[in-house]
Amino acid sequence: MGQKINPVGFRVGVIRDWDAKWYANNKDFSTFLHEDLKIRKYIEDKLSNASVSRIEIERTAKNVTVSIHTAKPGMVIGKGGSEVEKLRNELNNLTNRNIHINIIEIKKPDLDAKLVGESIARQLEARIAFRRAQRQAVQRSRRAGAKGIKVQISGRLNGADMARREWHTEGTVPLHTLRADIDYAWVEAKTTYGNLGVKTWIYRGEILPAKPQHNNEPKNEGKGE
Amino acid sequence: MLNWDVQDVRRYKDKPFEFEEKLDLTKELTERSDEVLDAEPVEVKGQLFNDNGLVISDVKVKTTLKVPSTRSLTPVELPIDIRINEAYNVDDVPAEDLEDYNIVFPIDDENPTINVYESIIDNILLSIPSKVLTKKEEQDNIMPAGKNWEVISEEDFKKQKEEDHVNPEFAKLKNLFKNNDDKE
Repeated sequence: MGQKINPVGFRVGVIRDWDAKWYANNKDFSTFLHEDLKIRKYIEDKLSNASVSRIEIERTAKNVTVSIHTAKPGMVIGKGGSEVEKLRNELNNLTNRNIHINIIEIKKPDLDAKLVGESIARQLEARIAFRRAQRQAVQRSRRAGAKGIKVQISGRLNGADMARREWHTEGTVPLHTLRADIDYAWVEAKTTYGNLGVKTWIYRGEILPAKPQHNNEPKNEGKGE
Repeated sequence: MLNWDVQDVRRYKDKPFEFEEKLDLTKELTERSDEVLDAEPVEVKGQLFNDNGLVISDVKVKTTLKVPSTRSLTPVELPIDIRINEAYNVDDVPAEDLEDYNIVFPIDDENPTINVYESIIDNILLSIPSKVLTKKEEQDNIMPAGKNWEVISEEDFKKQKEEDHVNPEFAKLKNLFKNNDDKE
């Protein structure tokens, strides 16, 4: 069996950006890193039902900006913004810094591997047959414009005695192509028969590098009529 | 309810087995999903027919759900009008012969039944879109904001990022070269 690299990590620095953006010298580095981990853990636990896909953390000399990418901003902000105020205060207390929160509404949740995986996991927890959940997710992503999707569910499927894995693919998922924008996520569903693992790969098309400026300029040198 | 023994369905060899019902699934739907706040009675009309060792279901389901808006949690009326096409593998048809079918379910040997009731609930829950907005939210595209927090769209976030790309604290450095430029 070939060893498989995480498609997201494979593309960071090539077509994907980092989720943490800051600079620190040796003295502060570990403090900031642990602070980031604390912030991420806290948000993931607190907003586990809010369809949070990514948490970006940016630091300047004085401020920390936390950008929460979510499909359900309503769940993050609560009624009248009460929940987000609470969250901000708790994060301020956790880090002793002034934190600014950006909530980014994801335009197409069906093209986000984490959200698709989470949605399948929640459906499995709601006792929906895994084949139905799997098919529906694949169809939705394709309708939303995905060029390819693969969904794999493993564990005691439909409560079977023996654990197994089943996957369904549509379109192409070129894992070895670095310019292919492939989103990947692994999510767990906690069912009465134990945990089921849900892996999702979504191919959203190619990201081509912008042409260098000098290539776009017309080359008139040495040309005459 | 809407759950038949395989042997009963098999008797309908020449014509489809038809059914039509109005079901109250509010309790099941709200229990199984936090997203459903309320549901109107569900109109179900469909048929089951035998096809080379498979039983095929073709069911039309119509109802209206009340679900919270994903942006503001305001309740939204969501009409559901779906058609379910599923196959049940009654005679252990080999997998290579099932490629034409969208979704095929094996039959449990201990309890050989065709459960359309479960299928209807599952499919209603699966048909709730991942993004639900009120009509006003869709038209006006208003994003809520408060003190030290704001909701923004992905496009605005991208724009903001491009603008913020240059650290404003370094912007002052531009002035250092201003005099030099003037001299030239």
